[in-house]
Amino acid sequence: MPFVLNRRALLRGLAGGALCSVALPPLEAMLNTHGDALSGGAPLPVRFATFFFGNGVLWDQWIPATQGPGWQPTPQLQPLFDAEVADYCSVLTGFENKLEFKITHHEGAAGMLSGYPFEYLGGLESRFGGPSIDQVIAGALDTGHVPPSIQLGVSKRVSTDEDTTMRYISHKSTTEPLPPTYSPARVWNDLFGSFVPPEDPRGPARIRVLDAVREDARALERKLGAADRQRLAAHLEGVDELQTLIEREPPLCATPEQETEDNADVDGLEPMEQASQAMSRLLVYAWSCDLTRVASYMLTGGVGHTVYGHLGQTDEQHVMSHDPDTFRDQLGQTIVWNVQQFANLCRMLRDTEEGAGNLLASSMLLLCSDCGEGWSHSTFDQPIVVAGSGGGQLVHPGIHFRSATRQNTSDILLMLAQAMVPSIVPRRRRSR
Amino acid sequence: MTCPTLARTPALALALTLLAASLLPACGPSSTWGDGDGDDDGGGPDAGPRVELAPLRMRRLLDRQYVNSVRALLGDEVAGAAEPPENLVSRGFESIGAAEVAAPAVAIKRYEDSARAIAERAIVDLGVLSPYLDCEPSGPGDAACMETFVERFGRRALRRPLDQDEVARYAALGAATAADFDSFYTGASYVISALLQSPSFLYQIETGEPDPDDPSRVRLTGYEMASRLSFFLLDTAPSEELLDLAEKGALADAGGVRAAAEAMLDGGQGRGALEAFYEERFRLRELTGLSKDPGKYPAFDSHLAASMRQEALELLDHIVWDEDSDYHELLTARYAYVDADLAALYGVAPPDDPEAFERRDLPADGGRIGILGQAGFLAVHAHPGQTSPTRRGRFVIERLLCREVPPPPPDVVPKLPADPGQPETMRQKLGRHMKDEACAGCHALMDPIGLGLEHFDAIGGWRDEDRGMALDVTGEVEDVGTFDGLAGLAELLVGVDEVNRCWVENLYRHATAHVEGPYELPLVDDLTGSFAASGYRVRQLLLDLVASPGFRYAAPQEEEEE
Repeated sequence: MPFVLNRRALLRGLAGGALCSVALPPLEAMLNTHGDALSGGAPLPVRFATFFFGNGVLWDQWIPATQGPGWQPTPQLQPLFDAEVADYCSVLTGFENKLEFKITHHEGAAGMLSGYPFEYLGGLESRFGGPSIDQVIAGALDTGHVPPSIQLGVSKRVSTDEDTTMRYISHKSTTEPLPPTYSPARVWNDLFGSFVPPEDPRGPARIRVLDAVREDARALERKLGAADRQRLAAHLEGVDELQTLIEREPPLCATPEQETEDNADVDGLEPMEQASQAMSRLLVYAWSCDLTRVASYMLTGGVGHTVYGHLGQTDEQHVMSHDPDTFRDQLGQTIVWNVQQFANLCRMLRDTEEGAGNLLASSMLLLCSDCGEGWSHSTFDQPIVVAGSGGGQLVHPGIHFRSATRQNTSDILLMLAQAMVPSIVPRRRRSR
Repeated sequence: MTCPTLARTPALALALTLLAASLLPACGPSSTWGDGDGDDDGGGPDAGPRVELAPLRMRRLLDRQYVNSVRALLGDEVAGAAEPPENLVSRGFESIGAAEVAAPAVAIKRYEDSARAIAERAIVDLGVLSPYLDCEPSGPGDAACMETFVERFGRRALRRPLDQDEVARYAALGAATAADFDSFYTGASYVISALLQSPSFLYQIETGEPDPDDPSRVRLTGYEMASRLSFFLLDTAPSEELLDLAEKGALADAGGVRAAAEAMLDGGQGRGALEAFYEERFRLRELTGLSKDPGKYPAFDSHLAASMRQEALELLDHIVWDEDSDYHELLTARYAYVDADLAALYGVAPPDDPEAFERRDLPADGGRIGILGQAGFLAVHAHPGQTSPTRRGRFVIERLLCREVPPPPPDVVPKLPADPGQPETMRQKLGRHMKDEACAGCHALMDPIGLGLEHFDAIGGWRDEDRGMALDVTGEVEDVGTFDGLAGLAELLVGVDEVNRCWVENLYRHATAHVEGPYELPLVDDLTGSFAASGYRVRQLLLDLVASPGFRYAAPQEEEEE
């Protein structure tokens, strides 16, 4: 069963919505109950990111043999040990994404990332039925950060003919998908390249332009129907965010070197390695400069149309995944590479000091995918790693926890959301 | 009771089952009237089958429409600075995405970046502003001249005359900024920047006006019609002349709209817009960034991929604009437009200029024919290292026949049964799929079509055999018939009215930015009929479509939140 989160998420997309929830089985094993969460004094900022790669893993190379702390590495989780961040990582297995209606991949992505059943559009098309977890958190965090969240993408080989569920991982609502930016150069520019020096007269002139735009919108609003007014309101939210960006002070941190990687194909190959490293650097900077608190990171898209050319491969990962007997080794390599990118991001966060601790200690990252194993499209045992100690709220060292009861993956989303914003509560399905 | 639409009601979406979803469209919009004849404006409520229209939705300009609009306003040089955000797709169409999907905050920032870059470049060579200035500014504070500029530029930018408040607002913005920077033209550039960020520029705003003949529906206003026509037919903002026609009321009836459209399409000006639609529906854009196994297909590179795209557009242009002939030739053309790279792939003589596209007859003994024999289609609908009859079949089912491929049954395990350990043809390999009943349900729709194209490898090159084994290219289109090879498939499809209706439906959805409801189907049927009557000429279909009630009328907007 899906759950629904309240506050702005509720106001934005769910007013009058059907709401449902589960009785909450405890995920206490994940939570730090020692009361030392705030031992350093004032709470450190807590950040959240989803980290997604397409098409699942291979269970026999993923699931650790032992539970609890000190879990043993497996081939596909080994990169977390290689990067020396495994103690910050909890591996959750045996969970089930409970979405009942299946197209393949869609239910895996929508359920894992949002908890909502997708909205079916016919054929093999769907879109999210509600906001993704990153947007629930970004909407409920009341920190005033602009942008409230950023969306990063690495592989551009994403599904283009199954509508928005398979194309994007961040969704503010059913009709508000948030496309990722694939160019690190552009992300740098968005984050660091647009500060307006206080003495620059263009700043106030740009604000004057936005004022005129808002007045236009107000005059227009009266003539529009309800659906259009909603979209115009979303547009104006963007205008307000833009104004904040123009008016804000540059951050106190040192501006990182300008990023030049644009993630353009070279001889038909994607520069996956370079783009991934650049995106991870940028996310670390964005967080260490406290420019935003929430991110989504789509390493590869759902379904797995990516060709891992940098690993010497020539086939689409998706095609290989349906023939796992033939392509087992190659498939395994792609998954290991995916986890390496996650491990690398975690390592960079861990190596960035903050207060007495580090950025990984004050963050929560959710690694996930759109199915358990690619060839079966399973929504049971989708790969899930929760990294970071969330400002002391999550256990350290991390654990391997295997649900004996096929617990709902939504429980994990709820736990993370509540760790970020305690006032977020699950809601029951409202009868219609 | 207000019936919610599927799109905008999370409450409903949450509770939906597949069954419920399929029932929803019965809950349609409220404008109802009969219309026995697509061209008849006066059809009263009892004049024919019941027709219900969708309400109007504002539509964000597509990226190409944005760039072309800037070009129309300020010329090529300035348009080079235009960099709008990407289009967002909904229900398979960018135009529907433009009408349904909210602009994310990052898009608003891109619009500002783009508008500022355009505005800066617009005052480098002041000649581009001359159409909007009939005065020589006496200085930064020349208010009258600023006002003239706002009125004139504003009318083109917002595609309608500005009201008094708008003129005052933008003139004040221009004056204040001119004073700050001590430059009239800097002031004007901020007016440009602001107008290009106004929702009235970024969206096609349609609110309609009461239809004097039928109170249950609204008619697009003259200016709204000018924009709708121009963006649909030409992918750009309406010209001064078209706005003048709107002002005179010449776009209020079907005849006026058709006459204006005919003038607009003169000289093949509609090429670009139709090409863009075709590229989207026929998935030619997937050629950008397409990966192929370089070991198996050393000839494949981004240049060849670009040639494949161009070839497809050349054939479309030839049939629709140069010849104005029956569009079925898209399926049956025994010739192709090739550059040197494609000539090598197809085994025909290259043009003298290797980059030029010239018409060549295709080898008579080869099976290559029409768009399903074009390398672009064949390569996009294949894997990097092998063909994909499933993808090729799915394209025919979904994009040519407008049928839906159902999702796999819940218990299906889509893993190929064990490899027999010896070479097999694709037909044999997929045959292992078909042995599993659960798989066969969907694959039986798609694979037997794609298997008929097995003479074409994963980049569209001809092959006599598959891994040394003879090819069997017989196939079947469910409920239509069997065929032998590509030529047989093309012939079969030419005789199927479902294909014609699908083409019309795609164009209708693209033009009206929504998926037609069940009570709108008679309009699509009418258009399919008139398409046939015209000898399947696409140019005529475009004219019939813009004159049809579905393009010119709508249900009133819902006033309340659903």
